[in-house]
Amino acid sequence: MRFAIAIAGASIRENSLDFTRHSVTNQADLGVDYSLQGKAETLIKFCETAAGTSLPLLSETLGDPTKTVEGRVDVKTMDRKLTNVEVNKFIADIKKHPNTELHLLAGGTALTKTAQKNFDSQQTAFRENGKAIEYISNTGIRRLANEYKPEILSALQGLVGSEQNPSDNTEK
Amino acid sequence: MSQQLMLVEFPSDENGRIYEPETNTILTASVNNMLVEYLSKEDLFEETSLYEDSSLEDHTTILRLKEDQIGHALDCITAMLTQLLETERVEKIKTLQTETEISNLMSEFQAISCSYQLIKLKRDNFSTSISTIVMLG
Repeated sequence: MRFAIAIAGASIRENSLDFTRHSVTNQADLGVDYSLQGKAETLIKFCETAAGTSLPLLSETLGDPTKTVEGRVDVKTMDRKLTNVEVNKFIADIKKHPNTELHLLAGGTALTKTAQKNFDSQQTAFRENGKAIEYISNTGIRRLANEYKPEILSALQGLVGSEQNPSDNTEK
Repeated sequence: MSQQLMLVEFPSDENGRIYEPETNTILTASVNNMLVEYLSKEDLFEETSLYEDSSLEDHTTILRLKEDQIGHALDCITAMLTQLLETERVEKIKTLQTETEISNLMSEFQAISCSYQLIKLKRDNFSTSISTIVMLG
C-alpha cells in the first residue's frame, strides 16, 4: 500500500501520469499490481526519484521522452532481500505484456547477490528489445513517498479537512 | 501484492542449509491474499534462511511451508475450495454477466487448484528431499 500512496502522489503532481491498481484476484498470475501510463520523461523521473540518481540507460531505452509509455509494477511487500527465484518470476512475466515497455519490480530491502546479477544481465538483454526493467527497493519507495509528500498530504486535507484545535472552534 | 507459492529445489550443505545460486524452480502457483492469510492463520509457514552462496555468509529470510504440515495444508486448501463452492457467487455462476466477475471467480479457483497441485507434487514426489521446499514469494 505504501507504493499505492507514492504513485498516487506522483499522479497528482504529474498530469501525464495515470495508474490502475488491479484487484487482488484478477491479475495475480500476470505479475501486475499496478499499471502505469504516462510520458516517458515522467516515468523516467519517477524511477530516478526512487533510485536517488539519474538513469541515463533507462532514458536511452525508452527513447522519445514525449511518447506515452505503458508500465507494469510488481510489488513485493517484504522486509527482506528478494531472491533469484522471485526475480526469475518477474522476468518471466515480461513476455505476458508485449505492449509494456517499462517493468518495475518494487519492494524488499535489496536483491540477493545472485538475483542482482541476474537482474543486471536481463536488464541488458531486454534493453536491446526496447524493454526497460528497473528495481525499486523499500528505500526507493520511501524516497518516492518523501518526494510526493506535499501532494499526498494535500489530497488528504482535501478529504478530511485540516486539523483544528477544538478550542479554536468558536462556532456555537 | 502478487504472491506465489513456489516449489523450488535448492542446493544444500550437510546440515540442510539451502543456498543460491543454482536453484531449480519446479512449479509456481499464483495465490491470493485470502489463501495466504488462511494458511498463515493455520501456522503452516516458518521462516528459514536462504544463503546467498555456498560460503553461507550472507542470507535472506524466506517463508516456507513446514515440512510436517504438507498434509494439513492440502486439507486447508480443500476446505477453501468447499467454502468457495458454497458461496452465492458460485451458485449464480450461470447468470454471471460481466467478464470481470467471471475472471475473478476463475482466478480464485485457479489459486486454489494450482496451489493444491503444487503442494501435492511436493508430497508425492519430493517428500524425502528436504532442500526442495514450498516457499512463499
